[in-house]
This record gives sequence, structure tokens and C-alpha cells, in this order.
Amino acid sequence: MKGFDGVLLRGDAWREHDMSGQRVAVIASADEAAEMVPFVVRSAARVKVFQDTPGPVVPRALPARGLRSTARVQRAAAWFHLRTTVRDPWLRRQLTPYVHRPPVVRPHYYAALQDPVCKLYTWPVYAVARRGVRSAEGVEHQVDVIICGEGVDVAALLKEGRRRR
Amino acid sequence: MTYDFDAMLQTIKDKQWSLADIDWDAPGAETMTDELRAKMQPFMADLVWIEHVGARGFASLATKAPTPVIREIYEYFHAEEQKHANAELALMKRWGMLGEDGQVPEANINVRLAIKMLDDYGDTLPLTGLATLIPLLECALDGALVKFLLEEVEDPVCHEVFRHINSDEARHITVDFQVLELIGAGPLHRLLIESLGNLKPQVIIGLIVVFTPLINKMRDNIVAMGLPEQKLYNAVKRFNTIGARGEFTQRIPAYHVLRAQAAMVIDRTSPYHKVLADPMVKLTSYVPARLLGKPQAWVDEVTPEPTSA
Repeated sequence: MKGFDGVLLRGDAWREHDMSGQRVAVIASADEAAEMVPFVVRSAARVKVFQDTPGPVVPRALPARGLRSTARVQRAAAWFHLRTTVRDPWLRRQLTPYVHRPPVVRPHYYAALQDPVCKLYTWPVYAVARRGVRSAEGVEHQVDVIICGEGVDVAALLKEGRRRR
Repeated sequence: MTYDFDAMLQTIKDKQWSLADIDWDAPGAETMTDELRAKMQPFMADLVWIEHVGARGFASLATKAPTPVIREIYEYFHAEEQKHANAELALMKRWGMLGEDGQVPEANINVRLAIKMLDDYGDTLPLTGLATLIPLLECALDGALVKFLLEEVEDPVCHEVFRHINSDEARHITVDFQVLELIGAGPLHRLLIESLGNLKPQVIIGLIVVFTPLINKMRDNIVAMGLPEQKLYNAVKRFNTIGARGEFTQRIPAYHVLRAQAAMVIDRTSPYHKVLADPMVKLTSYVPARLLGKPQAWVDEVTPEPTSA
């Protein structure tokens, strides 16, 4: 992709790409990141996850149909999963939802985030430069592969990267 | 007239900058003499930590933002305060203030208390209290300290960095007070209920044990460097001046409480200093840092490096 020296993947392309030994950045919504990260962590050497506003995650679908529609039960299940799976208080705080939306079922997301090769960032990403991702805390995160979620305006990020070269 | 937060968010996005935009090896570091280095090192360490703690404050505010756009603005401000801490740490590295191992300087006890407070209660403080406290801290500590730095240091890289930081901070202050206007324009009964919610023991103890000595300690540091404390007081006055311009800010009880405290802070003859603030500085200096436990992992996020592999 013009503007970035590495590989930039969109849509479902990440499912087919071999990321063995590579440094990968995932820029995605919480729901998308929860699907991508467990897959990427299996082979990549280093994974940096830039996730926007956190969302609730549960390890499996709630059993009863009636229960599933109860917002309070969903919130409690997501809270319990987060509280019992993520040990580090700051990571837990970063993953605590503060906007209510229905949970996604992702049994391996929190385990993947706690893998030693993986790190979660909540900084907004504002540009894709030649060597990596620039986020608003002022650091350029240099990577070989960037995976972008559906809602990411890749053209705008690349344009910002070129403007600041 | 309603403030255009969408336009502000766009401006914030357009004005982003990175440590990688700055040539940290450019000439000018030699203007930092040994004498100035020794004088500035504790001051810079305080500044880095105050920015870092400010960042954590915005993280809490983001969870309570009244609208999605303001939430996104606070998410950027959280990152920007972290960027300021990173950039100031990079300046310390450039000036040889980090030692051979490049270790991040230790936070003083008053900053450690603020970290503890934010870790334990930051996310449970009501919006009105936190949204009022943050602009006071930004006006007082950031404003005074940054001005002092630019007067003392000749290094052009320092001036380049602080051109960016000041531009960011101007937007922070604008948004801070516009959010107060938005909150203040809400129904009076809600303001009163939220204000009663502010009367939690942790908020009151936080004001007395954390905020009061933090600001007076900073004054002590400024005076120790031979700078008139009036500089800090002028910065605190801005909180009152900008707040007074607003139509609805004055309906917020927390604003009046903090304004009254700010007025006492800038009046050196006030018994506030003799009876409360100065003794609290002394008292907190005896608190062993290990009593506060291990801070959360966000304190380790600060870095002087423009790139990360």
C-alpha cells in the first residue's frame, strides 16, 4: 500500500495472511479486535492492538433466550468474565465498557491480550506513516503488518501520514 | 450560542503531532549548563509526572462524558497529556537528566498520593467534580510551570516542543470550560444531586490530602528555584477569570468550592496556608511511598522514545 512500507490488510484479508515472526498492529473496534487478535497472536512476533471504546465480551452465548435480552444479565456476565479472566487492574480498566451495547461472544480475546507478545493501546491512531502507526500519545509504533477494521478510514490515515512526512 | 464540539474534535485531529516530528539531536542541547541542569532536573521530573497524572484524569473523564463527541475529545486529551509527558521526558534525556540507565525519575510523594487517589477513586468521582478540578489543575500547574520553563531555557528544541504543547493545552482549557458551561446549563436539581454526590469522604480527603499539598509543594519548588510564586498565582487566577466569563459555569457548586480554594491558594496571608496547606506538605513528606502500594500499570507507559518497535 502506497505510503506504508509494510503490508496493510483490510476486510477479511487477515485470515489468509501468514504473520509468522512479524510485528503486527491491529486498528479496529472492540468487537472486531476481539475476533482478530486471538488469531494474530498465534503466529506474530509482536502484536499491538489499537482498540477504540471498549465493549462487553462474554466467553459463550447466554443460555436462555429470555435472559439474552436482559441488559442487566448481559452486563453482569461480561463484568464477571472480565473480572475473573484479566488479572492486571489497568488492563481490566482499559477493557471495562463505559458505553452500553450487547456483548460479543469471544472466548479467547482476553487470554490473547494477556499473551506476552501482545499489548493493548487505547490511544487514538491519527496516521499511518512509512514505517508504522502514529498514535496520539506521540509515539510511532513501527510494524510490518497493519490490520484495519471495517470502520477505519485507511485513506485518511495514509493521507495524514504523507502530510507529516 | 452552543459550542461546536464537532469542529473542535476535527481541529484536535488535524493538529496531532508526534515525537518523531522533532529532531531530538538538533543543536541547542549545549545551552543547558551544569548549573541549570541541576536546578531544572527536579522541576522537569515534577512536570513529567503532573502531565502523566493529568492524562489519567482525562481517562476518567472520558468514561463520564456527556456526549459521544466529548468522549472522543477526552480520549484524545488523555493521549495528548501522555504525549506531553513523553516529550518532556525526551527533553530530559536530551539534556542528560535521566542518568546513564535512562531511568524515568521517581514521582514525589504528593504525586504518588495523586496516583493512588486516581487508581482507587478516579473512575467513581462524579462528572461535575472531576470536570471542575481538571481545569484548575491545568491552569495552575501546567500554565505556571510551562511559562517558567520557556523563560529559563534557551534550547530551540525545547521551544519547538512547547509550541506544540501550549497549542494543545489551549484547546484543553477551552474544552474544559465549555464542558463546564454545558454541565452548568443542565437542570438545577440534577446539579444539586450530583453535587451532593461529590460530598464523598474520598473526595473531601482527596482535596485536603492530595490536591492541597500538591499545589503548595509545587509552589515550594518554584520558590526554591528562585522564581516569584506570583507566577503560580497568576496562573491560578486564570481559573477564576475564564470561569467568570461563562454564562452557566457559575451554577455548578463544585466550581464555587474550587474557586474559593483557588482564592485562598493565591492569598499568601490566608490562614489556609498556615493552618492547612503548609502543614499538609510537611505531613505528607513523612508518608512512606511503600505504604501506597504498587501503582497501576499506566504509570509505566511514559517513554522518551519517539518510536517503538
